[in-house]
Amino acid sequence: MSGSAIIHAPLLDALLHRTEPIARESLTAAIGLRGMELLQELRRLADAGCVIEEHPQHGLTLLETGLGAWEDYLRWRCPLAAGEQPRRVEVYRTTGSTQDRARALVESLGRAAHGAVIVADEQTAGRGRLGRRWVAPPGKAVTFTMVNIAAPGDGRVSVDHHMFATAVAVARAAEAVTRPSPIDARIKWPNDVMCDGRKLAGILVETFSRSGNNGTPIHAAIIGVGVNVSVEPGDVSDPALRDRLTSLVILGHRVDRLRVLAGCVGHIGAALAASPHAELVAEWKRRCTIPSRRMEWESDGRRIHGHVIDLDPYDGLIVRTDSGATIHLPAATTTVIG
Amino acid sequence: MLDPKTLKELVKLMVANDLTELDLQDPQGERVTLKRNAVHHGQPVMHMVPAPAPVASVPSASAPAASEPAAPAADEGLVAIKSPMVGTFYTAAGPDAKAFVAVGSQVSADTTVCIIEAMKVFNEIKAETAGTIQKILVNNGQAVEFGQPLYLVKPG
Repeated sequence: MSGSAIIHAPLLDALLHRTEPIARESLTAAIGLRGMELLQELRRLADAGCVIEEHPQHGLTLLETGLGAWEDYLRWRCPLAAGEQPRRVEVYRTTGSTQDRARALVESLGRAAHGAVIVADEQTAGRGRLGRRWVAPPGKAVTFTMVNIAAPGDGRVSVDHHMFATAVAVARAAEAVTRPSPIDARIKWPNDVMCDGRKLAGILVETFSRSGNNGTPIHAAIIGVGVNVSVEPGDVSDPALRDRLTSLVILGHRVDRLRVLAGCVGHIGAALAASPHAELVAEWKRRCTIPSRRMEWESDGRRIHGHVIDLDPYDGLIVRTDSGATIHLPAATTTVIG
Repeated sequence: MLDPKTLKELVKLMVANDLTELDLQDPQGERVTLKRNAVHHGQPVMHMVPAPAPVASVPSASAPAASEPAAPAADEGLVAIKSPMVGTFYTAAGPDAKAFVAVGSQVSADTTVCIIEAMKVFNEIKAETAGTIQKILVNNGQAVEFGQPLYLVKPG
């Protein structure tokens, strides 16, 4: 739907990765834009909604990126592999669910929807796992969906694989954007990224297949991610929910949402392309917190009590039940009761 | 029903006090909502909202007739869904995707009828009125202006 770039992505990148003001001369040295050219590009960023402050002594500070700059930046910062088409990026001010939009995109574009990223400033019908709702105040979280289509001949896509690869990727991205004093991002099986025992991000993976134009099947994973970026305790009215969530701001890191978004998209792409998986699995297990206490789950309508003895990215939880049996609880059908 | 003079006075008041929205309801259940965009000074947008439910005291014959001159479109009894911004109009979520609505589609206030892209941001536009789509006034991919009618809806 969109035409050519309206912003100068390297300029935005230079401003986005600065925590201190930068002088115009330093920007010129870094990206080659000078004088009127630089002024014009700064104006374009402002037109796209970016808030840039200039102090006569210190220089320029980017206070906030504008939604209008996100598409161009993301396409530039997170290109698809060589030989593939440019990444499709759609930024919505408000949409029902980015998952639904992504699915519609696969329906209409088929394989060309691979790598597409749908971002919403606000979601009115955001979904969580097992039909739960994802609620985030507008402007304070990054909510997006990324489409991953299996290469021809790769067979069906696995929810579990996408879930654990995405969880590792989001944890890596959260750490990367909080350097030089990175947060310690953990994974709570199966789909939450946690810090200090509270939820920082949630992941929802849906898969579906359809037949392509030439009759070959298209297997798509629709990966939904929500990261609490600048949510503060006062933004959440439900006290129970308030105690269970955290955000980068609560953790002491004020980071622009666009950086978090680009970080997640880049890391998810890399994690899904990683082979062999052994390293990814090892990192996932290292980040996963395995509770040692006795727990209760519901799986396929049954109540199960027992202890977790191990985790497997494909088989789910490996549990020793109270009756002494060892069973697997797959992520797709299991709810943690407590 | 409001006469043009009173209406003018109200708009003046809104501008003078920098109000963007005014919602009035008289004891007979007649309701008038006035909206103006703060950025576009002097361009009040007016929506006539039908009385929410039949109220016993409303003279049924005269009320609809009185509201006719204020109807936003020439087509009698139809309500226009207008563009809230300057941008590019799209009828569907993607190039080959099914259109959100077609002539004859039933819509509720919450139905998404189209997308308007402004500065590389997609804005889903809701019908904001319940009824049946009677006419699509703009072509897919066309540039639209602030306040430009996009669809005509037969309320009901």
